[in-house]
Amino acid sequence: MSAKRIMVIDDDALIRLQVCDALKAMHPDVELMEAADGELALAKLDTFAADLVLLDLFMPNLSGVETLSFIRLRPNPPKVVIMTSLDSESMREDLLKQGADGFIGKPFHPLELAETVNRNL
Amino acid sequence: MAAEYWVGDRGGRRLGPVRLEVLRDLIKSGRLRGLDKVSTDGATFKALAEFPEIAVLFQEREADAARAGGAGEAQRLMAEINALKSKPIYEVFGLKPDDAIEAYRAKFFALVRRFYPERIPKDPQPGLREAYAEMFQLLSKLMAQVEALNMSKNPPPVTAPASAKKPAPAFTPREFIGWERRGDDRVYCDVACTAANAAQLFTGHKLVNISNGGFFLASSRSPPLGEPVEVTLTFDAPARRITAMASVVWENHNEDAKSPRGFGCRFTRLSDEEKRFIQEFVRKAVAGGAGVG
Repeated sequence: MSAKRIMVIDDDALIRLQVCDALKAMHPDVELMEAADGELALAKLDTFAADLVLLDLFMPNLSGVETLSFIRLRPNPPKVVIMTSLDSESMREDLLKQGADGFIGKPFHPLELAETVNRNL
Repeated sequence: MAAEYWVGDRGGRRLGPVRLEVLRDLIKSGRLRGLDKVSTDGATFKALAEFPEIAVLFQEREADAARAGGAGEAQRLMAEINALKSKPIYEVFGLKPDDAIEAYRAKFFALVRRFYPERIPKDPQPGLREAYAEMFQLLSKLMAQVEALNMSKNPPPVTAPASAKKPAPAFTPREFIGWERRGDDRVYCDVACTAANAAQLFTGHKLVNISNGGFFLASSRSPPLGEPVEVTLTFDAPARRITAMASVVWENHNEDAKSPRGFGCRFTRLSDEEKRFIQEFVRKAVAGGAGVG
């Protein structure tokens, strides 16, 4: 099986760093790509065929909700897990309707991340 | 179709489109803070005050938070903590003794979420912050015991890779990703970057400047040399926020004509794109422009 590819989209560099470290610890052969906002992420997805995207919601330039809708329009879109502190039942409900595959509320423990990622890879 | 909104903060971040009901839930729970602009088309943003249907939600949140942080809440929580201390772990988590480790983890994360620092009401009554911290600590300690017990019952095989032989997690705040800032003892440095101070910050010091991946902050206080610092740079035009890790590499406590008092940091993690953005911001600031176009 080829190595899985995961893109981490968050404007907070520290969170990208922590998430990537946790992903590497759980899947040492995973290929990772980072993006600091939705616009950069969409450009990178042209050349990085992600299996899974971990997507923040509150970001500059293009919000996570907007980014999700653009990702869903792509051919063979990756699975998308929303990772956000903006966590409410109504928010989850709307995002799942818009095509998100999962949701993880910040702050989260690496064990929670592992469980969510493994479920979606 | 229900009206949808985009909301934004001073750092240039945006959320939307979302329904008013979603905004209501997020504001009511205290998750959405620091907003100052709103749009109904995602393009034209106006001041929050021009949207009374949203502004009123913040007023209601303030009133709710004041009630939640009222006198007696800390004592009630401390009494609950004392009661939990005398219970077996499975009862604290509402499970059976032989339930799977995954069930314990799921219950733990659901319980402990209520006591994250971000859940502490604004201007809490004395003792409430400590009660939240103690409840978090108690639940973490119990969960760590469950993990250690699980590991002793199911040790990784001798041939397992090193990654499988890590110690059991302790569930301290530092292990959580996206932990509310200022809820722990990390050193933070928030810097507002404008055309007026860009040159002083990023090119003014001969040893720590953006060309070698650092910046200098004139300040009467300095973290110790070598201290890791989480830096948030908030640029005004264009609005952008960059968060990076840095390390203190220079300090000067005695101001003189040649070296101002302050400290210098070198970024330990800054992307090439972020570095280019800063360099361009400084270039335009020095040239007298309004910022990066």
